[in-house]
Amino acid sequence: MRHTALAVMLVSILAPMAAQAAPAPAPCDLLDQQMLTALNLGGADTKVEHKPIPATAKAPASRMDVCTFTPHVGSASTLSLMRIPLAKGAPPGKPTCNEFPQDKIGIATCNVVTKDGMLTVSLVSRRAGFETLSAALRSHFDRLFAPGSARR
Amino acid sequence: MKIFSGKSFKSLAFAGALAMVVSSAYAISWAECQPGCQQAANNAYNQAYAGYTTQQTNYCNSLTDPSAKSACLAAVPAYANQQASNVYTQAYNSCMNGCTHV
Repeated sequence: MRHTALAVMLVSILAPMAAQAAPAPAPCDLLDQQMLTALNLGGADTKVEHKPIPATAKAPASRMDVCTFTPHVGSASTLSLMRIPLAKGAPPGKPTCNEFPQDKIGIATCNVVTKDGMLTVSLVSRRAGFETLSAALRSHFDRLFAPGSARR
Repeated sequence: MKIFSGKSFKSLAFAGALAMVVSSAYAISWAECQPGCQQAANNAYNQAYAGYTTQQTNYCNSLTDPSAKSACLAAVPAYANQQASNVYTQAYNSCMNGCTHV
């Protein structure tokens, strides 16, 4: 009985502290499973990094949050999402995507300004199958971040 | 106490010798592949860094909000380095896989 009361007390003290200490949502959470599956990255390993951005004459120092998705097995493709905080009131924009394939590697990127900051998603994959993956990236990025979508 | 019969000991010894031959062949080919793959990956990094810088700078310049544009441009070097590093890894692994498994 005494143990139960003690446990209840501990939980009631620690739970709010744990909730307060919870980190900000990771940039990985901005992409969904549907998109990752379409890019053959369902169940991929994720790595979160925070990189400093030095101040310039026109912008204060900032940081870039990075989430990188890599497949469990093999190295067919890598997807990374970068988020840069923007001053409040920056107007959201339309998603734009580009490709710049190289000799043996295909690269596709998509950018958008949202309420969460400026997001850039970049796919690096082997040339074989790159066009299909790039088209999937574009369509899922539009689905998630076009004006009126849930992530805006 | 006899742990291995004569026959199973011979099999084990053969398997061990085969594993040593295979692993030393792999090590030789790894050493042969490594410099070329590192060079190829460096080239891929440089190409990608230039490509990402150009592409991201164009995107930043297309932003109409001045503070968003400045923040975006300030992040271009960090962004290009981050992305080109992914390309380096991809190019290096892909090259080494193709080279050491021939």
